[in-house]
Amino acid sequence: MGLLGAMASLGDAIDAQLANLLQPTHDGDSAHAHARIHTAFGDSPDVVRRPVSSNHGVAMTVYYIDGLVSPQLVDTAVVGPLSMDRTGRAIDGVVQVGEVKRSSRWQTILHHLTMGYTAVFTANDVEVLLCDTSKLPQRSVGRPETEATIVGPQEAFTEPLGTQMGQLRRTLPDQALRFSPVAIGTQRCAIAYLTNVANPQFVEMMRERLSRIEAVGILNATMVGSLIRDHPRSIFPTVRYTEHVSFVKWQLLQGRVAVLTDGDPFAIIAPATFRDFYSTPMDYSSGWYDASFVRIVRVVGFVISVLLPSLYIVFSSVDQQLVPYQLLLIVMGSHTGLPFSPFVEAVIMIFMIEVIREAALRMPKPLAGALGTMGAIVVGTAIVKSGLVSNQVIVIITVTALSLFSVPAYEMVGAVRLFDIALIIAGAVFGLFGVVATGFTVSALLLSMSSFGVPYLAPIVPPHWDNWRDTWVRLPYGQIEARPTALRPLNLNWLHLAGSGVRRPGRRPNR
Amino acid sequence: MRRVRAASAFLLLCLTLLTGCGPLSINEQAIVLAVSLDPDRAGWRWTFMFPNPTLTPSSEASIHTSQEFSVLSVGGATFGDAVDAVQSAIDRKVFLGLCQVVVLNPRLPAEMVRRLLTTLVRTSAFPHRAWVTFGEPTASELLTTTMPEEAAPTVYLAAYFKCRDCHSPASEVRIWEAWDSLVLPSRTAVLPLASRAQGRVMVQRVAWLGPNGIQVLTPSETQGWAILANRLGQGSVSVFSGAERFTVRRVSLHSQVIPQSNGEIAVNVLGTGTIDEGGPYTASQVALVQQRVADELASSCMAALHAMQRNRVDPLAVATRRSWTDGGFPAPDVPAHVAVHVQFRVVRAGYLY
Repeated sequence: MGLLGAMASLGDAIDAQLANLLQPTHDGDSAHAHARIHTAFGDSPDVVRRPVSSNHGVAMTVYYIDGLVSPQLVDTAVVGPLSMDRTGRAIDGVVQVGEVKRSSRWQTILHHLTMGYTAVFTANDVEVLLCDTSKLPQRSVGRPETEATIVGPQEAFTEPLGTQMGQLRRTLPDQALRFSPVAIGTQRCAIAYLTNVANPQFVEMMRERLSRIEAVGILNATMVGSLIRDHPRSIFPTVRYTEHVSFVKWQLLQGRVAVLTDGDPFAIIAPATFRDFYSTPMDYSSGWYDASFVRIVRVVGFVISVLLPSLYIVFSSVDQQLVPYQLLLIVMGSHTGLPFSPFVEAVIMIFMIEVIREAALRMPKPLAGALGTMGAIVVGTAIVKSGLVSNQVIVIITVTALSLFSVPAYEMVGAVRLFDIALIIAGAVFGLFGVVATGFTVSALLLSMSSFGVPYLAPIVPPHWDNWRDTWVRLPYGQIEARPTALRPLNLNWLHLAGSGVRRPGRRPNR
Repeated sequence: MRRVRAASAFLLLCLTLLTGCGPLSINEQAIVLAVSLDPDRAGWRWTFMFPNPTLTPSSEASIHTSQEFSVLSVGGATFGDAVDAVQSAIDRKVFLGLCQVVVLNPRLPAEMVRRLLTTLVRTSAFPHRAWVTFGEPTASELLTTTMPEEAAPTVYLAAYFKCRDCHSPASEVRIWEAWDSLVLPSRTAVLPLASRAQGRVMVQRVAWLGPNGIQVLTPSETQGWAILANRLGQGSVSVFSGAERFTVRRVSLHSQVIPQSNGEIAVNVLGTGTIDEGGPYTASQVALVQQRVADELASSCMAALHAMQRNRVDPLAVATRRSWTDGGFPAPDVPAHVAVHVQFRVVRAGYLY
């Protein structure tokens, strides 16, 4: 009987505990609260519990997570005022923090604890006071690492969402700027847009796509972008990432929508067409002639990076009669005695460059420089002397690798690289016809793509001639007053030069 | 999805069928840069010129001029036999796709040349854009003559013919053009004649490949043909006026060969030129020079026309043009009566004119 009795009492205790844990709301019992928090966080040493007793004898318990809160703020703005309070006011008015909430729902209480709030449990009170005492570890605002500019704004986003919104708000002090919060599980995001510019369809589409995501945890903005983008299996990106605050500002002014992700300094910009991946923040902070020239260089770089290696393979291995004979003979001379075909040599070189690139990314900066030098020596000299690769292939692949990095958006670099490899294989197997067929196939795929309903090749196809002023080149600002038509903004013009005398080229003044 | 699959299958089929198969590695090919054909006691002697396969920009300085190219001579009744013979003599695959020049001996029978041109045009692996020329003293000797300004791997004759505005007369012709001239029996192909003289290769004459054989023209006849065919380019003419010799340079001519209704042909030539040296010249001196030049040009034209009549050839396609108006199959004859009118004007003479 004794054993049965013990088992019965143990069962009752377990039932009581389970009943407590299954309760969605706090019942006012401090012991139950402690058990619930202990169950949620386990023995984590960063969960701090501090009993506080006020002058009126009210027993309170303060919970917070060390590292997420400012200990000074907890002491001076929560614990201190509560213990020293002699007025007997409601404790909402006693604590001296910016934001105070009340809740009895355990889900809300636990979530706020993980966000740096301090929870104040008062004995026999079912409502818990949630005080914003968060002070997240944060680095200072730095320069953009991936989109460095020589002139113009140099501000990059930082990780905390609040700071990101503040940076954007300060840069774009417009009451039309809206931040629409969206939570993906525990991940906080915000959709930024201008109410008087952005097409509401985009905002709604973005909100709908974000709200569809049900995830326990999101790692970064790229993960969010991958889940909301069109054509998620395509190698060509359909959303753009940028850490440049002023670039996001410009994109919002053009009628796009940005998604800020807590914990990732990169903002997601959508819709993003193919052309958008070839524009940089510096295009809008340098002279129109310089920006236009650099854009043309980028286009040439794209063509070189895509076609140069494949055409080299085609002309040296398959369709030799299409190349000037002097060049072919020099190629032949440099291949004399080498064991591999130009295709194999190109594959070896691509592999070498990718290995060096990957290694340089992983290494500390001082070592990366040394690795670059070592790689240049190895690739440039030793590999030729060893007879693995000819001089021409080194020149071709090196120029291609450099051209690849003329693509300003890193996410497009990978796509172009894969396209390049596909063309090399097609050229080696099927010759010039293979390159042409692959090129046409990829072009057809690009034509069929869209980003948030905007054709991927806009404004080139379908042609929006007015927008070409800021596509291949960037004309003076007075001549690109229109926003991208494909974005269907609420207001087409972003610039009005009343009485300035600026007129569009080719248009005669009114008589 | 079905359409995508069908399109993919179609694309793959095209890729498989249209791209050919089995391209050889660049190191396994022997690239033929030039071919020559000479008559031989035993038949025909074919010479193939190959580049030195170890030639690179860095090695060019260390390679002797005589080692920049190599030649291989074989016998063979036809071009195909010759290629087979060359193929069996070297360890690489003979690649004809980059051949630049075909040099023919002017002593070859005309029928042999016709047959060879037809063969080359019908050989898909042979580039129809290659230049064709006669060469003397023999085609193979001309092929192996190297020029000091020739930078390997450039073939001198190919570079020479490619520079269209550099030479007068502009007699260069590609294989397909020569073949095209021979499609009608009445037509005559005009091929340049490259000669080796004093260690240099010069192209100052042309040869006609007509129904009656190969006729090599004199320099005067060549000039006359070039005037009539509007291929003189920017040449020069030297004339004597009294005891003084004048060289009229930058001669620019435009000629019209007009078949008349009475069976004769009329040739009208309009031209201009400059006298850069000497001066000042009087108007009467200039007029005299103009007359002398016109006479010289008319004389050249008449010489060419007489050669055409003598050899019963029609390099200007006069008979062909007449057949369009008169009907009937054109006869390769130039009418017995021709009239040449030359008007020449010196537009600048010396520094005072």
